[in-house]
Amino acid sequence: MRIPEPVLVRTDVLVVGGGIGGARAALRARELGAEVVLVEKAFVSRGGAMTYVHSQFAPNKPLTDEELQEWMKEFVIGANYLADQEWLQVYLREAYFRVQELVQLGVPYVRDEQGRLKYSIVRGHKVGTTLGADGRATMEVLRRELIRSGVKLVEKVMVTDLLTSDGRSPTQGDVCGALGFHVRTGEPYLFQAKSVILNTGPFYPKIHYAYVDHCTGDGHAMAFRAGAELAGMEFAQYAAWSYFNRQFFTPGQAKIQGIGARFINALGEEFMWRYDPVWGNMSGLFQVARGIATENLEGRGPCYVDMRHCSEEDIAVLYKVVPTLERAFQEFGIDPRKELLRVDPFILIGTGSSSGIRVDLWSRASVPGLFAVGICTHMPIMMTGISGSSISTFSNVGGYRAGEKAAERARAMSTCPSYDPRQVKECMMRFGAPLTRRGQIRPSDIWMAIGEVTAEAGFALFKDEARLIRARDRLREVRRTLLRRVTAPDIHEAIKAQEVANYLEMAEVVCEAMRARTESRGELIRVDYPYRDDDQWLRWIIVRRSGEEEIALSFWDLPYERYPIPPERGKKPISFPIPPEYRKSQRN
Amino acid sequence: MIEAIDLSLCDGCGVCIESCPTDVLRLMEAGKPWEVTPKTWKAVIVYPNECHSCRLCAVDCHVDAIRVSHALEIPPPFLIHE
Repeated sequence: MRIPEPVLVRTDVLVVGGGIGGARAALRARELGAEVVLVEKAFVSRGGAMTYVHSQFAPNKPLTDEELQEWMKEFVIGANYLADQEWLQVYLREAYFRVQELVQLGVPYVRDEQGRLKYSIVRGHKVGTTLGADGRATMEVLRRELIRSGVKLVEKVMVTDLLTSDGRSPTQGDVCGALGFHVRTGEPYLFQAKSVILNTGPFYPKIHYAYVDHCTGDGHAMAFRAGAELAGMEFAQYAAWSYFNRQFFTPGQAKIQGIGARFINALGEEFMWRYDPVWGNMSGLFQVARGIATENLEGRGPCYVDMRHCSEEDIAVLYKVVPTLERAFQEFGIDPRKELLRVDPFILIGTGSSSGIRVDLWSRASVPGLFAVGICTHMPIMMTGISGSSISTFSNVGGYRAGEKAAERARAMSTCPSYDPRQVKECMMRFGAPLTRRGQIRPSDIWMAIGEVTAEAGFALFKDEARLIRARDRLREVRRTLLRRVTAPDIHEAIKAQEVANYLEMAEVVCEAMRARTESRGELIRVDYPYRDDDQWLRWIIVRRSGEEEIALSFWDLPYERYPIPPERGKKPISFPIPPEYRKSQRN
Repeated sequence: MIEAIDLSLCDGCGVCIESCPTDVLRLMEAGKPWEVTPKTWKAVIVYPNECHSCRLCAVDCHVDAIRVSHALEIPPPFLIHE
């Protein structure tokens, strides 16, 4: 294969991914005098999960110590006591200022008739407040600001690999740049940078659900290959309930719950109180999806979402902040004030809310020179999709902090560390391989093969050791047989082949981490350990690549002796019933 | 999945091409390639299977030329089996 000469881009700070966190990181680093390049697979303001954010967590005032305690408690409980409380304090103190800066920049948050910011409460919160805004509009403001401040945007370029100073992955050295390819022309881009910040979003399979097809774990996989630690991978269960009328999906679920929608089964019962006595209809995505799946399995389905009692005004706000939802309702002739909407769930391997690159208080990953921001991190403040609105604000806060430290690191270095041309060549060969193969296996075939493994009810809903091993082995088989033969007729498909390879690498890691956690917590429910074990498991599982095809697991016990909110103790049974046929694992 | 772009409405502004995160659309010359008449640009669906029905293109289109289909969109393996 002929290897084309890459476009060389040299900068102080490289930001990979242009969501809210990437934009904030770029702006902050620029403000501190760094040269900044932001590279995005799509187009900044029209790509990634941020496009669909409609509620941003936003304290309505700077919090006093007493209030801080109360707000923290909500998160600690929501995170099933796995929150890093030091991060949480930083988050809650800084969130107010980071959001007010966006107000100053002109983000069009929803306001009341007097023109004051309209704070409201959405899913996952009883005291914490949020502001509504269309994610696209938020990003349009930030995009304008990026251009104005002199951040160089490189769009429609997918970064595939991180480069390391020793040319090895996993590395013993520093991250010193990245390699990417233009998604249409295939032109390679070689980025040399003193600091690299990842803001690459969650990871999902291609299920044709709104933004998710775009977020395939590219950042997770490249950080993992470079040797960075991942944490919370065992909670990577993504669930949603908004498959409406068995016809279409839309986001906006937290907002629908926030305006007071009720979930009812075929008998007309509001069933969510059975599964979540605290939150009921305001429960997390995973809990609602699992609740619906259980109602269906036990013969009380199908289930519906009921918005008939919601006010005109609330529906108008819903449409304003989630215009794509209004569009879908229009296309299907649905009036949510007049009719019930049937809802069906899905559960699959993908980011729930806390599976990703392990970061410290300054958004630094475990490899020097690498930072991570937003939902591609392990989200130390939360779990279980409880606070949908906090994802973007955590990115906002973490991005600002990453930008600051990345600029500081760049300032202290006189030159960019050099990369190893052999590593570049190796990565380019790997990317190009599907273009040179003959055969008929396409990336979409591999997505289907993955789906066959993860949507099995035994795996999706009723995990145990045997089923986890079986799923991992089947995924490994897909990688070793199908993925090695995947073909791409053009650059577009070569990009898709890279995406499915990244996802598959993460899905196997997830199965290993799930096996290691011998309890049920948050999004991980194991029928062989059907209880939450607060004596043994107030700890995070850390996963790192230790060699070719080898991973190393370790644990991080939460330093509760330093935390203001004390832990719970003992074992608590889980509240989801297990049908008898799933109680015992069928081996083989 | 994206169904059709009404070419009589499309004015070739190219906004949808930038909007699409999965790169489904391209701007192409309209009309038959052998015609010598001045050509205009139109948005064309090139990779329909990559469409994830996010509707960003449809919402961004200022002449409302894009239709996203009513067909079942979810690849069956990902739904929880009943």
